[in-house]
Amino acid sequence: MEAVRILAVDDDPVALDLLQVLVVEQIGGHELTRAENPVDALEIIRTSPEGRFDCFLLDIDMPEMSGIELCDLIRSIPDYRETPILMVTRVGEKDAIHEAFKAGATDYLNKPFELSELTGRINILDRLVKAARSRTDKIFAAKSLRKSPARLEDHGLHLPIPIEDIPGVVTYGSLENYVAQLSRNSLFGSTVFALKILDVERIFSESTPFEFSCFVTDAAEAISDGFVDHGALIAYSGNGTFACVVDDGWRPDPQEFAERVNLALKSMDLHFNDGRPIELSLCAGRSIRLLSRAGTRAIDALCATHESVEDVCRQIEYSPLGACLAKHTA
Amino acid sequence: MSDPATLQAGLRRVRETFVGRLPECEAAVLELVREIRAHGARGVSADRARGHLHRIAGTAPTLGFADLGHSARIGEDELLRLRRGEPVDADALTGLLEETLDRMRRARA
Repeated sequence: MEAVRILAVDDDPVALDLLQVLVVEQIGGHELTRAENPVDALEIIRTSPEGRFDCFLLDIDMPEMSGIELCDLIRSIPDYRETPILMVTRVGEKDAIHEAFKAGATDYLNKPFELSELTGRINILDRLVKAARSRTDKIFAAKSLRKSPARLEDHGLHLPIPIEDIPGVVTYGSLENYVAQLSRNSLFGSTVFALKILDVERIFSESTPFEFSCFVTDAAEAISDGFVDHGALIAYSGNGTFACVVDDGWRPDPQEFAERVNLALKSMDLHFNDGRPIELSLCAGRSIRLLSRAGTRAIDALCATHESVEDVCRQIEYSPLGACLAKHTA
Repeated sequence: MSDPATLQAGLRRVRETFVGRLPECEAAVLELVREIRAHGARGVSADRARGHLHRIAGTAPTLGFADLGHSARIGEDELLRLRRGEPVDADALTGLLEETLDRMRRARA
């Protein structure tokens, strides 16, 4: 595999030297470009060929401009909207970590570096880079064959759709990393639950890919608005399902929250492109507190919220109310 | 993956750089200690020293200076509290910073 090209930004040259030794010399297969402040980093990005970097390692605590602000700026560059960004931070910085994920971070690393943790995170990063390169190769291949660009139906109902520019919405991979790291660092007390679009298979089958993508984005916006006074991360995991992590101590009643989101969706007055109205409705599964859930058990909790919302969704869809809903929205 | 000897050689190299930068950190922390002793902790400008302690805390443990890293981390936390306007015991703070200074000196020895 071609070397993974990393841009590392840290105001401490010793930390950059350490990354050189640990990531480039010890783990191997990586090429490190260094910047000692965000301004230099942005200049390096600006003057480098498009898509030059496969991933970014950003220290959070830097003077003048934080790594979180830099992350946000990097995400605004079209070439780097989906490029993995690992934030580097001291252990236990829960608020900073949360803000970093909201700004578009993919994962984070703790300082001081431990070789085993670093190797694990870098291995995950390498897999992400490999997958991204493979997608790029396929797009170039498709273009060279003059095929139509990738369409949503090629990806299916069950795969995540990228949702951009909605506060608190991150990719599902990022959310999983966030939850896993929360438990790893004993930053407990977060609540997770999932919401699902009712009758999503029918909606998907009746929508164009663009329409479906818009409906999912509308639902994400309504959910995000519902969390306006709370720190929450939201991710679309595919199949009409959204996972939510609330970590400011607030423990919402998922059913009440879903009702509030549904009211917001109703007020959006959504339509298919041909003018047919659609009444988008979500249901919620049970909430699970991440308290004392260590390691992979936190990820298990995330999976359990999905199972719970599937159960609730099935009950509603097979109930007379569900039949009424389907008739109403058809 | 390179062999352990190569890793140790790489870490030794970084360690030398780290130790070479310690006098600058010591000077910043020492200046802060003197300022707190002269004027008290309230209103003191601690950002420069905090930046140094933050960097030490982030790298020292990986380079074999676990005690120094721990001490710098506690010092950084106290200076963050100071910045947030929380009450900080000036004597306890200077004692903590002096302990960190002592560990810096030992790391250089």
